[in-house]
Amino acid sequence: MKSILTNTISLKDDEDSYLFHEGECLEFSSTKEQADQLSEVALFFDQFFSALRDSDLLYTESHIEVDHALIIANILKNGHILLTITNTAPHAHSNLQHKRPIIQTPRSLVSNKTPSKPLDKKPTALSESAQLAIKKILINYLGPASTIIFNDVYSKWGALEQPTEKSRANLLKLLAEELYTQDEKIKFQAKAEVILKKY
Amino acid sequence: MNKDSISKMITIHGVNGISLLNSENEALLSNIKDQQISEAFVFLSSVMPDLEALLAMGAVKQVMLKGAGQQNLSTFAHKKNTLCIQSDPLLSATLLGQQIRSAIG
Repeated sequence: MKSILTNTISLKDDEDSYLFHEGECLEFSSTKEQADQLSEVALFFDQFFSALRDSDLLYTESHIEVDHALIIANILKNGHILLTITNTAPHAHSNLQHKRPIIQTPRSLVSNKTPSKPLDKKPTALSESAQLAIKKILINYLGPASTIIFNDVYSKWGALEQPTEKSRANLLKLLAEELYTQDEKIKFQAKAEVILKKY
Repeated sequence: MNKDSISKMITIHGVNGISLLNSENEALLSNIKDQQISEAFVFLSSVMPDLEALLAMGAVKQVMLKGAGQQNLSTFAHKKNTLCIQSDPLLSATLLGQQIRSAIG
């Protein structure tokens, strides 16, 4: 069976592509290590496009330009996230032209399937993936403003007390205060507590 | 960014709306009347720091959203503010980026 990546896109010498489903890399044209490092980015775009869709904004593609790279994130009709990263450094082409990637699937490289381990840049009381998961719940109640409100409340939590694993429940209470009805507050806290147990 | 820069941006072929958000995502100026688009820009601007941290590939200079039948929505980091541009789908991210950066000077 041909890979999805080779069927859908034609990679240039300085491009790499990764196909994700719910943060798990299904296919990649680079290395597994790089694919694993992009797991949280893919989860981010899952929630990003979901938030847009919930607000009736029908955007399916995002171009992000950073110093020496262009990242294109697409959400496909089946919900997969396709990330394409182009190296735009001045000599990228000549440096990379020896390396025409071969499409690989993680399963062909790893006999015992292990979930991609998110790489937290620094230890915090609440990992970035947990923060994203809670933001995703908040989006249901607060819409696009949820990220701003979460970040404000998260800062407030940090100012009120030393954030620890034990004090995470207080963060949920602070976030619940931002919701409009008692019913929403209860539902949000119940869902968020389930998330916290996972992380 | 001054009035001249804004005037230049408005005249870029394919640009249909401009908004400038401060670090609190409050509009300092805007000619975008569609509330939904304005909210989308606030959302886009608010997630740029998260995206930058996750990517760990340096500063995010420009983000463009595209969708079938939709106007493109782009955000550019400018000092502590975010410049938001609504543009025609045919105007590429690269060309828009070049023209906006040229207008900012």
